[in-house]
Parts: sequence; structure tokens; C-alpha cells
Amino acid sequence: MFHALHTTLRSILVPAATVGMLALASPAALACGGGWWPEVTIDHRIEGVAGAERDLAEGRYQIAAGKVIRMIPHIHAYGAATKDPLVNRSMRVLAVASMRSGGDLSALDAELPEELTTEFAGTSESAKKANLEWSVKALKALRKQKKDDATLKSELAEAMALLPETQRKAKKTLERLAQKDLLTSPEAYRALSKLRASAGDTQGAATAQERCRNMARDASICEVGLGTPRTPVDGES
Amino acid sequence: MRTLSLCLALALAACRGAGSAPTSDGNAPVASVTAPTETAIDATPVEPMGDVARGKEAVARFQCARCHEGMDTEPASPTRHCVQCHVKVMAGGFDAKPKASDWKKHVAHLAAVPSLRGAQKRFRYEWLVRYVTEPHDLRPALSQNMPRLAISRDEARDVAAYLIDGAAAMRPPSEALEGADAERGRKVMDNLQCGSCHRMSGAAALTAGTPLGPEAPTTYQRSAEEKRPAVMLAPDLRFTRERMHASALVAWLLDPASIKADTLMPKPGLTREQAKDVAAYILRTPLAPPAPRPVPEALTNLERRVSYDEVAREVFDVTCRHCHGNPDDALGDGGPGNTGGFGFKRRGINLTSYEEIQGGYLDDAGKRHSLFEPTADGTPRMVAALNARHREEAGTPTPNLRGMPLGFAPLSAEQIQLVSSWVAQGRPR
Repeated sequence: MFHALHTTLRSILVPAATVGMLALASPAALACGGGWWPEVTIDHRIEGVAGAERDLAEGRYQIAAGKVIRMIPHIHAYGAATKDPLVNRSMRVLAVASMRSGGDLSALDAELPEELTTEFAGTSESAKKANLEWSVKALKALRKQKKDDATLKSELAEAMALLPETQRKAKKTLERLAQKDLLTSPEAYRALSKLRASAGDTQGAATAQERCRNMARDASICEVGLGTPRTPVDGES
Repeated sequence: MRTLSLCLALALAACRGAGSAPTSDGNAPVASVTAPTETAIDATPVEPMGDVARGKEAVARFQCARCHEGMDTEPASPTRHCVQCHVKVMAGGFDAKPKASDWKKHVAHLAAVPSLRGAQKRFRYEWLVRYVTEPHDLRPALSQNMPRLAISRDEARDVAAYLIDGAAAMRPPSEALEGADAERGRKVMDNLQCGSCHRMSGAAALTAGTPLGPEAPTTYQRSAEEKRPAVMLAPDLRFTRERMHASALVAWLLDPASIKADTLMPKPGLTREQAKDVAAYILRTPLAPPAPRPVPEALTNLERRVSYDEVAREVFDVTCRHCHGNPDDALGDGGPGNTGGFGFKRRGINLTSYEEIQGGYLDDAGKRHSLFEPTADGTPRMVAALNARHREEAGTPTPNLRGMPLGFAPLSAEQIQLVSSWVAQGRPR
């Protein structure tokens, strides 16, 4: 009986005492082991996403992709734009980094867990195509949310130019944007150049390539063929 | 006889005081083309009175409270109040934030903006309408101006009507300056060292103390910190005859704080007669025409390669990105030049990244256009807007093109050259 009473009392008193201790304890004491929660939550994704965007802008596609995947490993699961601008920006970075690598992210940071690199790497042709298709899907979803965003429009057209089934539509969009001087990157002009060349428009292809060369930090990107990972720049693995 | 002689002497002295205008550096007087006198301004047609209720709504729509205090409207929240935020950055109030050191490098303006308290007791309605529609440089020590808003004349009338609380356009009683002596007024101003804060362009230079030194032998003993905003906000007295009726000016000179409680103008301690004399000088002294502000010659485009990185560092990130910002960096607010504000529609101009700049702007129909499309004379639109700001300052605004940066000093010829060269080279990354 005493044992039963003891057990009952313990089951009541211990939680009560714990709650009481938590209620009475100072934050310092809480920090020392009674329980701890930060007063200020720092979202490290802010700097992370900004850094990934800088890497993307400077052509360090594998590094940019790696940063995004480390922060949001489940990013492939997003089928639509979200309410979180950081997630949306991350989607764009991965979509563009993947697209400009031809779907080949096999040089991803070795620190990524194997299951993640396996998912994202694009080592086979079908895996590369899957990455490109995801890029188009992600950019379409983002464009649905920001209909008048010229950068997304330009990048989506660039991505669509890499898939045979969407090349015709891509060319139409790229031509329209080029006519209005609204193509937002040298890579978009490269894509237009290739499509024009495929359509037999040699002069037009040369014009678009020249625009690419004028805009690009490194004019050699305007010569690289479709799907070939570009030569890494300093700092890129 | 003695009385008659005295009257004649006074009349002659008044004539001397109202005679030829001295040069603005205080040299011997020269014949002048004068700025209109107070009586000439009073003869101009009265502007139709606007609607006070519509004016209150317009003040909210144009977000005047994001800079100006002193109106009976909803104050701007701390995250939307430009001046409060800038002052806080400069005072170190955001030092705990990771980007504070970056902000401090670029935030040097909008530390002082005039409050509109007591506007109804100070300003001429007609001047308010003109100034809101076509602002100009009013404060020589303040590098920012009132921005040139997308405001119609009717809207400006409504805003002005609201600010003066609907009072009928006042015609000052002719006796407001009866018996006043401008020359005496000038002497009073020199004794008070009004030039410590104020300029009066077109007149002989006002006597100043040393406005920024605490040990200065001025009548008003203030610390340098206290004086600095006062100097920045002190208007050029040249414009007073357009801005204020004589009676309002006399009342102001007698006790500024009774009209505008937050004024930085100290009480000069004048008698009524002295206040009238000073007002007579300010309102009636012939003024030399303002020195023309030349529009600088465009420099030839540079031959060396100009990258986006350089233009961003020297121009876009210094001045432009705050109004043409990234909405993701500021709780969805990309600034008046991007997501909209100050009555401007959403134009979608984001100058914070290479790609976004290439993405152009939105017209009224929501269609995108390039920021580099050629204007009528072939100048790329962005460069034309930078040049247009110089023309605004020179008094010859470009029709249908708002000068940039809005409300700030124009870019230097070298900065415009950099942008122009970059565009001409095909906008290399």
C-alpha cells in the first residue's frame, strides 16, 4: 500500500515540482539545463540564400546548388511556389544552377549526404533530364506567382530551350524578349543563339551570340555546347 | 520743417533700402532684374481652392507622413518612416543588426525633413500648390529636395487646401508692413546673425556667426549637434516672398514656436516694429537673379570595359537601390520605384541585381519595357532619366520624364558617364 501511495504521489508531485521549478527558475537557470529556448531565433537561411544567389550570379553553379540542398534537402518536393520568399528564392537558385549545368550536378559538394547527392546529382541521362524537367517545373511555378517578373520569364525560357518538347515555345518567348531587349542574362542569349542556329538562322545565331559575349563576364560561356558542364571557376568544386 | 526733413530722409532711406540690389557676395550694388516683390505676387491670380477632404485622402495616398511630421493624418509606422529609420541608422540604433555597418556607409541623407506643423498659419496657398507640383531646391544646406511626385494640379490644390485647413486665400492687410523700414530690418538681421543658418541668395550676404561651433559668438548658444539640423532646414530667404504673406512673416518673426511648436528657429526677441522691418527687408529687397545651374556637358563614353560590378558599386548601390530595392529584403517593400509608394504605381524596377535591371520596368498597362530603350534623341532611357535630373535642377524639367535620383542631388557627370559607357558596351556583367 505504501508503495502504491508512493508511486501515485510521485506521479503527481514530480511533474508538479518540475513545472513549479520551471515557473520559478530564472532564464539563466533555464539556460543551464532546466530547459532552453532562444529568445531570438536567427534564420540562417537568409545569409545562406543570399550566398547561394551570389554563387549563382558568379557562375559557381555546383556550389550554389549545394548550399540550397543543404538548407532545404526536401526542395524537390515543392511543386508550387510557397509563401516563404526564402524557399522560393532557393527554388530559383537550384532550378537555374541545375539548368545551366545541363542537369548535371555530379560535382556537388562532397559534404552532402549520399542520399541527397544521389537524388540531385544527375549522373545518368535520364537523371539529367529529370533535373531539367524539375527546373522547368519550378520556374513555371515561381512565374505563376510572379507573372510580370522578367527574370523568371527569361530563365524559364532558357530552361525550356534545353528540352526538345518545349524548344519551340522557348524560342518564341526568347525571340519576343530579345526584341524588347528584356532577356536578362548572357546565358539566355546563348540559348537563343543555339535555337536560331538549329532553325537555320545563322545570322541571327551570330547576333545573339555576340550579345552573349558582350554581356558575359567570361565570353567562353557563349561557346559551350548544350548540356556540357562549364569549366569551374575559382572556388568551384 | 524738421518733421518734413525727417520724413524725406526716411523716404530716401527706404528708397535706398529698396534700391539697386547688391551682388550676393556683398559687393557694390548693381542694377538688377529683381525677383517679384511681395505686392507683385499678391497681384497674381488666385489659384482655385482645392477640397480639404480630398486633400486629406491625397496626403495619405502620397504617403507624405513617411517623411513629414505635423499633419493630422495617420503617422507612418517605424518601418515605413524614411526619416526616422535613417536617423536611427546614423545614430547607431541598428548597430546590433548584421548589415548595420553596410547601411551606415550609405545612409547619409534624410536626417532632417521640415515638419508641416502650422502650415495654415505660414504658407501661401498658391505657393504650396506650385511647390507640390514643381518642387525646387529651397534649402541650400540640405542636399535632398521634395521629390517630384506624380501629382496633378487638382490634387496639388487639394493637398494645399488640406495643409492650410481650407482658409480662404489670404490677402494680407496692406497695413501689415506699414511704416516698416527694410534698411533697418537688414541691420537687425546682421545683429542677430541670421546668416548663421539662413542664406538669402540674390541679396548681400547675411552676417553669420560660426553656425557649427559651440564656442561661436552667436546670439543663440547651441551645440554643433543642435545647430546642424537647424542649418539644414533653414530655407533660402529669397523664396519667402512667394511662400509667406507679410502678416504671417511678422507673426513668425515675433514668436516662431507659437506657430510651429517643433521649429528649430529660435525666438529672435524682436519688437513688433523690428519684426516689420525685418519682414520688409526679406519681402521687398530687390534680388539678383539666381545663379543659373548649368547642365553639365555629357562626357564621352569610356573606352575601357565597364562592368556591372563597377556600376553597382559606384552608382546603383550608393543611391538607387533604396527606392528600387529587392522586396524580399524589406518585408515585401521594394521601394516607391519598385513595388510602389509616394503615390507612384508599381513599376517593378529592381536595381539590386544584374538580371533584375535587365528586366526593365512596368508601364501603366502592366507591360514590361526595357530600361535601355532609346528615347526620342536616341539616349537610353536610364541615362536620359539621370540627365533629366540635372535639367530639373536647372529649372528646365524634361516633359514626360522624371529625373533620377528622385529628390536627391543629380549624379555627377562621371557617374552618368559610367552608366552610359556600361550601357553602350552592351551592359557587360
